[in-house]
Amino acid sequence: MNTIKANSFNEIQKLLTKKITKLVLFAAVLIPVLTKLLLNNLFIADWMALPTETINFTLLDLFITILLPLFIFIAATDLFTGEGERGTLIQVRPISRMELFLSKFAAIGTITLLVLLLEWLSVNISSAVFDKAFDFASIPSSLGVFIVSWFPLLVITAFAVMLALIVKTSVLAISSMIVLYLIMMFIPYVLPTTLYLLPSSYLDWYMQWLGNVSFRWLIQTATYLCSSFALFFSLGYYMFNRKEA
Amino acid sequence: MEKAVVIAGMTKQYSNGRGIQNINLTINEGEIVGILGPNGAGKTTLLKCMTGLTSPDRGKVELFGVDLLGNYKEAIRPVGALIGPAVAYENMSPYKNLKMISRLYSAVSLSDIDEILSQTGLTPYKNEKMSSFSIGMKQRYGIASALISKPRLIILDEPTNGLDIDGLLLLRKTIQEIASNTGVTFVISSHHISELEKLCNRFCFLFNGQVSFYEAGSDSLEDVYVKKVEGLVT
Repeated sequence: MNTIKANSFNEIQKLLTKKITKLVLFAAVLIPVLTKLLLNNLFIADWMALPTETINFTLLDLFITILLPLFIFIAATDLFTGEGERGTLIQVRPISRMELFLSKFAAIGTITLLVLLLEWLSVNISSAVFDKAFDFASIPSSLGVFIVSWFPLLVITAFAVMLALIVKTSVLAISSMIVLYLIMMFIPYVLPTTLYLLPSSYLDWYMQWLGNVSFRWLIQTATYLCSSFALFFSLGYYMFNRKEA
Repeated sequence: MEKAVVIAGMTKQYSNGRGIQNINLTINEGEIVGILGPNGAGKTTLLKCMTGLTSPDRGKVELFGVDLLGNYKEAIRPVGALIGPAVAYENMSPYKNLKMISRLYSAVSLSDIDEILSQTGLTPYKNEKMSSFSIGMKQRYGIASALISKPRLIILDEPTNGLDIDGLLLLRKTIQEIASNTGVTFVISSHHISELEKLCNRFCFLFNGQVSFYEAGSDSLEDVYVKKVEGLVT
């Protein structure tokens, strides 16, 4: 088996044993179902006032701005800082540093994508069951929206991994990630000019794909996401490569 | 005879002044080399540099003719090591831990995992979470994890730490069996002189970051060690 593939499988297996991973996967299935069920019973008379799409995007926003970043922070802390503390990060195994780094990164990315796909599936099934106004023709475009939302989360993953490798303790790693993320979320309210410079501002870039936004703007955003990903990823790898057991 | 390990001019200095200086060391295939030295002499540093866990400041390491620093993955493939305390993913069983390791080696099958668990006396606990393991049981797992890939060179740092008498006897028997049946090279660091004396055919003394050798002979290892410490033997 290819080394990166084999070790990605190992890292995914490690993450799947964690309660937080199980919880996020469970939430991805349960939250859309419960939301639809609740709204269907509470607002049955005013159903038209709550269009299906609006609810679906609110559910997506909940995951991409709160639950998934939190999962990414915990996973990055566990796979990098935590393993460094426990002595399992660097071992005598036939795997290069780049392969090890990539496979850990791929594991977090894979589970993030899995959560998004599960949520999409749950949103669509529960919509089909509970929403009278559900349009089956919207299924392919909604899948595109969920998949597109994965890319900014990869930037957040690279950012979290970089931070996880800077600090030496898990507590410091997770708390610094959360504090910095909150600062990134709220600083544009104080300094509006910073909005376009922060990776967190692009978490809802799926709106650009849905709205009437120019192709040029999409390319600009994609370039920004790629650049910030490359920056965080390179810095993260640089620090990982210098780690000693 | 092929050279299993060649270390040339290796230096690793820590900020506290400790470390190893200009180490030159050759270990031939099939040898069982014991590394002895007082605490802080640099035994673990030497083994860590030998396995790429730490980068030396200077010098080179070759394992079976492959440069460790230039081609880590290929150089380390025939090596199994237990350096420092045995580490594992504690919310998993030893079986799952070994299965994860086995994915990185094409030649390791699931039956090999069962065999190594039996060899290290861990079969009754193979599905228990390792968080409930004692230090000795973790050490047995550490030895299993070093042996699972059927390496040509096995590096063990204080392998008897935390082992009970059964574990100690089992480890001795395992090393002797592997060495006589397969001709695997062993590098073992330990404070237990008597244990090393029973197992090894060559000894490497490490004092103040410098090495000197002694071939197993008529003198007791303890006497040779004491003389080395007192500076009577150069």
